[in-house]
Amino acid sequence: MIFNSIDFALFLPIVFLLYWFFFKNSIRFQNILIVVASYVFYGWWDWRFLFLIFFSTLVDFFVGLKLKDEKSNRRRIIFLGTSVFINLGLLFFFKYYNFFLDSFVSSFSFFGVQLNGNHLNIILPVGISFYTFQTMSYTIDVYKRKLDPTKDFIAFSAFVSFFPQLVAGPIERASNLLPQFFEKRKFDYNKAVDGLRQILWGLFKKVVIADNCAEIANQIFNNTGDYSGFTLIIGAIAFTFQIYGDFSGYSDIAIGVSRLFGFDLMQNFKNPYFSRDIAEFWRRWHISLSTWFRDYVYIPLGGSRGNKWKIVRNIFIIFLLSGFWHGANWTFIAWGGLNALYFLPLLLVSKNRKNIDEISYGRNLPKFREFTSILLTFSLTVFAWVFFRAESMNHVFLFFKRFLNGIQFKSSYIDAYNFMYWEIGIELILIIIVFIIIEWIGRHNKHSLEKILVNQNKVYRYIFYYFNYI
Amino acid sequence: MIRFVIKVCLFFLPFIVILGSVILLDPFKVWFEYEDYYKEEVISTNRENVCLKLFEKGYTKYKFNSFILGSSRSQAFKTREWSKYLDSTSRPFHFDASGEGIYGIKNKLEYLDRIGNQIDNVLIIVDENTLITNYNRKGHLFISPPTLSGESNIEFHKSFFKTCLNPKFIYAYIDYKLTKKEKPYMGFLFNNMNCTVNYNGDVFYNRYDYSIRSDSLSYYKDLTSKGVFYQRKNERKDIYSMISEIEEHQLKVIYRILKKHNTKYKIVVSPLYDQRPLNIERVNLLNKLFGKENVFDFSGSNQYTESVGNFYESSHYRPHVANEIMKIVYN
Repeated sequence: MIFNSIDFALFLPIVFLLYWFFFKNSIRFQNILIVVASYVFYGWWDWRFLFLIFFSTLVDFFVGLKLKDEKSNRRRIIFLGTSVFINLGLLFFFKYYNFFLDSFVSSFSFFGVQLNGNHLNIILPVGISFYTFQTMSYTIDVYKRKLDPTKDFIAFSAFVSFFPQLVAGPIERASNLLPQFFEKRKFDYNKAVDGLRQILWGLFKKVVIADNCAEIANQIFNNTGDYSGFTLIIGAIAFTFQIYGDFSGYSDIAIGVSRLFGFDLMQNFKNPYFSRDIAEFWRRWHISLSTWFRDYVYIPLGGSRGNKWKIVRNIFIIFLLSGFWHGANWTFIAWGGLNALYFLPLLLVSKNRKNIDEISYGRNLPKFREFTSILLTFSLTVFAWVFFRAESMNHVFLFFKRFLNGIQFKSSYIDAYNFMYWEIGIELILIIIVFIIIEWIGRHNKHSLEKILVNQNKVYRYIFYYFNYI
Repeated sequence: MIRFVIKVCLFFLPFIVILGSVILLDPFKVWFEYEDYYKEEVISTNRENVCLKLFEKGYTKYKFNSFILGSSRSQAFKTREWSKYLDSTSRPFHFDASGEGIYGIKNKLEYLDRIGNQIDNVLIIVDENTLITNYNRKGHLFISPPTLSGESNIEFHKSFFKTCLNPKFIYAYIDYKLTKKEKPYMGFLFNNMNCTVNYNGDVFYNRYDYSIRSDSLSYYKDLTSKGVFYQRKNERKDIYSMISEIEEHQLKVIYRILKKHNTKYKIVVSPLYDQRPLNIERVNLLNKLFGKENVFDFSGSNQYTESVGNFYESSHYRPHVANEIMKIVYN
């Protein structure tokens, strides 16, 4: 079930009441409830998916125990390799099999050889990219002896399947989330209220911003041939807001729901579109995934140590993998590659950590230079998102060809203006502006509504909440 | 903890009250059954849902076995006129929907097939929009009822709740209920075309017909000055909306059902004001699947699309055009 559905709206209060009323005195029963609820939540899409997640949980639970007991380094590597092989194997099969097959067949057809690929009708299990990475982080940390494995299968199952973050992250580290399943959870009123605020904001981002921008983006991207020039850029910007609203909205809801149950998840998005350079963007966008790749791929490869070619290689590997993680299409790989090209110059001249301070801290508005940096970074990400959204590389080329052809004509500006006025409408534009303002005001907080209006009159607060809700 | 639960319940109380009111008032006539869905009220309803209710109410009594399918543009084709070209055992029904697509046409035929209803004659009215609409559309006026779509009941009813919770709608609805006056700001949520519907599902746009009969010159002059009848450009669209696999699949399903029932069918491509011809690939596909002798293309620039007098406005042509078309199609 998805967060913005009536099914979830009924599911959540039931689980919440059972958790805090019937099982509040037993950590074990609370964990069992979480496992059961998570499996119901996940099975709601397709009950067959449950076998996969259970299998993945079972394998990594036992691998974890073996890694602790095993003294031989060679055997420890074999155990770790088993976990990685099974998790990645599942991921590759369900997500990437047809992609690799099609690419293989296409590469031969390029030379005039026609192969008959056996395309499989594979259903992609929801969230598989998230929970496989989450469980692998557990076995890798146990292997590195950063973490002791748990003997509590229920707690471990709850960690793997925890429903708020199961299908769309954040990808939690075992060292952060797993210990919370052993601690006694006491209902914290303020935490729960703030959790609700975060859920409300997440829903706003998803339902109002993302879904409305999706309609515009889909209209333009699905009919690229009908549009040109600046109207296409509107589509790209709409997608930029759509993907942020979708992704960060889901994360906010996940974190907010977790707080209702007494859990603290990591922050996954930190107002990335206010970044002053690409390096900062990647410290603020999908933090759980980028830090996963940094810790488990980039650093083991050598990170920023070694000669320049090694650094370039490492950067390209993680960005290409990151792109590929998002989807089985060359467009995602191209998107990753483009971001690597953006990032590399900063790293090579050691300017990747230039903007690590808070944006415009203590000021209401950014300085002019900051503002231009933000705009430039935003423009680069919009450009890259075109690759992410396009259906194929041909679609990307068509998009940019029609953009370049269109901007030569004055009518392109008029068409774009008309599109904004008639198709988007002044209300949505105003809502997006208000959204950006709220995000800016709340940029130093864990979520934008954390401190906004908290000290205000109750009436103003409730008007704001109802307005958001409506 | 209890304080938290009570506060949450109180927070949602206004919405529960509004939702309860919405169901009781049922402005879109979705939750209860009605004798006449077009009586008195001027709020636009989901035409497909209304059509379905009308059919369910009447099919055992009237034994409908002949169907006109298509969007609101198909309403130019009246069942009474169509009957003249069918045999005496035919019982026609107008099974249309607002902005209908082949998704909806396919679903209706599947529904009729599923309930074992005879499908002796079918007249399908299409245009490019119909052919590219191969999915369940969003919005309370367009979403397909679950009986036809097989999709979620919750999603269907949610679309009406969403509209009812729109502050613009709430304000306009209360205003109308109190004053009984239609005002310009009420816009598309309200529909005062003064329509009547017969048991065959034909819709009569009485307000338009009356205006044209009383003073056609003023009627068309007024619409032209408002830009409704715009200057037309005679050009083919630069195609990126190609024929999709889904579109082709749905057309094949339609054909299979018609073949299964030995249905006598005709497909008419509507003569639209924009004078844009249906792209040749689509015409060829229709000919290939349904036979050239059954497909009639009236799109593009021709005698039917030339005169503004053939249209109510730039989207819908008038019944006399449909009557001329039927003469050609059935001869």
